[in-house]
Amino acid sequence: MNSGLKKTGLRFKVLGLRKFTISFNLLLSISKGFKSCIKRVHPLKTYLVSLKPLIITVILIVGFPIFFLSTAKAANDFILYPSYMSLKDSGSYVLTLRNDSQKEANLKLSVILLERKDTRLIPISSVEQEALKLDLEKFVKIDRKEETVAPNSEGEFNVIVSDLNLVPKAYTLSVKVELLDLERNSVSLSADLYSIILNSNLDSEDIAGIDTSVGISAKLNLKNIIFTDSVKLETKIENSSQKSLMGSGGISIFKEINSKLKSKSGEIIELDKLILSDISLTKDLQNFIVPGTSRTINTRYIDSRPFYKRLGFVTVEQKIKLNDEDFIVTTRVLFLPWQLIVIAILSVILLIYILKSRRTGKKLRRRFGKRKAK
Amino acid sequence: MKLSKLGFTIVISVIVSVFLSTPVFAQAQFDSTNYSLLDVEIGGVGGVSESTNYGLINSIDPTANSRLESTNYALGSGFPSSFQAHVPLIICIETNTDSGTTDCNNFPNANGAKGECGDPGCYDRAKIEIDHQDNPVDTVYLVRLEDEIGNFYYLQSDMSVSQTYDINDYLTLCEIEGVDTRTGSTCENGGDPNYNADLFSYNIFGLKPGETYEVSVRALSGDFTETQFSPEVQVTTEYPSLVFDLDIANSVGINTETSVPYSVNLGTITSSTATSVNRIWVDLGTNIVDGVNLYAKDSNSGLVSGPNLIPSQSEDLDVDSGGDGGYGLKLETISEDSLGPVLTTGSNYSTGSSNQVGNLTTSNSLVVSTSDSGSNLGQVSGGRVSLMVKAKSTTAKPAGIYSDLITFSLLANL
Repeated sequence: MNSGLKKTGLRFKVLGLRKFTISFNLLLSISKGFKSCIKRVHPLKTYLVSLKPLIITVILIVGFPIFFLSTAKAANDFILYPSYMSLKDSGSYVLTLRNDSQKEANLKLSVILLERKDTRLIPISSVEQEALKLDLEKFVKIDRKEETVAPNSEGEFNVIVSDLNLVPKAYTLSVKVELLDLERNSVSLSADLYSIILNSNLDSEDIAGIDTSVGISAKLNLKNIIFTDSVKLETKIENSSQKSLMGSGGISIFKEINSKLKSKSGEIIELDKLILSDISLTKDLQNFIVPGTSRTINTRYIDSRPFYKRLGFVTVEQKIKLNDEDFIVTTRVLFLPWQLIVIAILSVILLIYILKSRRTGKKLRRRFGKRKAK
Repeated sequence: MKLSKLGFTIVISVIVSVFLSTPVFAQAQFDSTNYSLLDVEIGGVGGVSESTNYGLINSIDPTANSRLESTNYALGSGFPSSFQAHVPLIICIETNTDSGTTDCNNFPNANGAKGECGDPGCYDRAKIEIDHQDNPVDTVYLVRLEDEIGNFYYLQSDMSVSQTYDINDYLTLCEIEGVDTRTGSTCENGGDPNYNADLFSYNIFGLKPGETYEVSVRALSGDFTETQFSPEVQVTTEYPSLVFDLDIANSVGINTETSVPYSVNLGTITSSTATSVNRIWVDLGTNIVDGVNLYAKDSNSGLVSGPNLIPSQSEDLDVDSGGDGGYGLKLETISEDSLGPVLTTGSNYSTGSSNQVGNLTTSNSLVVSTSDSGSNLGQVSGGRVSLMVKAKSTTAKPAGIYSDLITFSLLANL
């Protein structure tokens, strides 16, 4: 045991010595070089040589941050904005390319159609675009089609959009900004950025109603019976219309308390709903739902009321605001807290036990009564 | 005798009670060397007194009402100023700040609004924090935003903005910011029922991109206590943006910036797989909530030299099942500074073995993307992707200079 420990200690010592020797030799050679240098150029050599360790330290402290700073990534990128713009039937916007790079950017702008594949927008091929035989200039006009943007400056383009409703419904319009300058010796690279133009102008036909609408359907999924205090909601909004939807919404969970009462005079009085919770979903819906796509919003809600108050049927209401029109989807669920089930089972067991013990008691009484009589 | 004693007691009691009920005013010396003020009377000061269970609103000398007002401030005394809530202040309203410029206290990523929305900042949302100015915990606040053409918008209970408001849109500090560290707020920390960390990143939605708003806030702490709006603070939203750049550098060149023309030299292509020394580095970033897609396509579906072609195929080049050589791209590294992450889901170039490549065609193929699905965020800052170019030839291929043009496209994932 002891010999093992000694060995370890010895090994450490040797390693430490080696390190020290290497460091010492390195410092020695640095100091030799330093000394010879000082000898030649400065008469105050003795004074400076005595300051040597301090000077080396200063060089190290100053040198390292400079090294790290020089390797830090600079913001040398191209920034295109707006990268999407929601317009009514017509309008214009300024498209800007900010050149934060250290290189000159030669740009070529063109109008292109995008299509949706697997929930992603993707530029259609030039073959497809040619086959459509569309004069895209009719929809979008750009004031300059080629431009050179100097480093650290901005290039601005006026994009005028007209007759968006004439764009084939399966496609989305876009302005392609192509970064040029190619060298065709080996594998050359080019970069494109796209600014998408969305038409979010919903008309009344698109939003005629959730259930009957040809365009929009929303479904609220949740379990029919909820045993815990956790309610998981899944709302799916399908946009089969040909317009993009901008939405916001919230979820209400409420109990209906005698929603209608008849007064003595025969008048029907509507009573308010008791809203238990109103959960905002705005964050999840603050984006476009483009044509032909759906969006699922998952919400988890904790019902913090005491379990005995949760018992009963509850109506969960999903209110969706699509382009400023409200739609409501409701579903009815039964809250059956597990605590109440446990209490019910225990009560039944207790009742059976009491009943059983009563029966046993009666039997015993009868027996003893008979014996006494004897 | 007894009756006279009783009468005496009553008289003394009346005198004592009258003495006690007479208001006592603090008397001070208002004389100077040359002047003295007569009939000096100092009225009591009204206000709100609170204990844990009870609150008292008192107002003495209700007739006094001298107000001093300027555009931004007002000094009021007496009724009703004496029990008005204190005018709150705006600590911060931000869309494009970073760690060096933010005034907000609760940004989760500690890099201002850019840390939450991605570079260059938020385009449809903002973060506001309010200085309660010692108003009680249950004080409610109304946030007002004025756009460039003078329309007023009010923060709603669902955190969107609307041109109308009602009493439900007066919200507590906890409801606006998701946290109120004061005792009794029920949202002091993560264990409290009203604590809402979602509001730490941003809490005003539905703003117009590229718009400047003047923002102010008023407080209400019980009936008739509503204050005027606080001094306005200006905020400008950004535009939805794409950040993009290409660079050519070796495998450790993550921080290297290179200029056009971008060209990758494959060297001599033989019957064993050649990998370019230089990688294609792509910088990407966005503030778009739905994220972005990076696509790649080429001009020739392979490397061409006159009529000769080394086809681009998705295959393991070491195997080269077609025996006709091959060429393609392979993702090497993926990283981001914050948000995102950059995803390889569905990517054609996220391949298995070391020389397995994804093919290039004249149609766009997905390289990487960002998405708001699940716990992912569409926004990303400082995204960086590197791709290797790999090629293999066969002895049957005629010698020549083989070349191709690869185009990378970045577009919003709406």
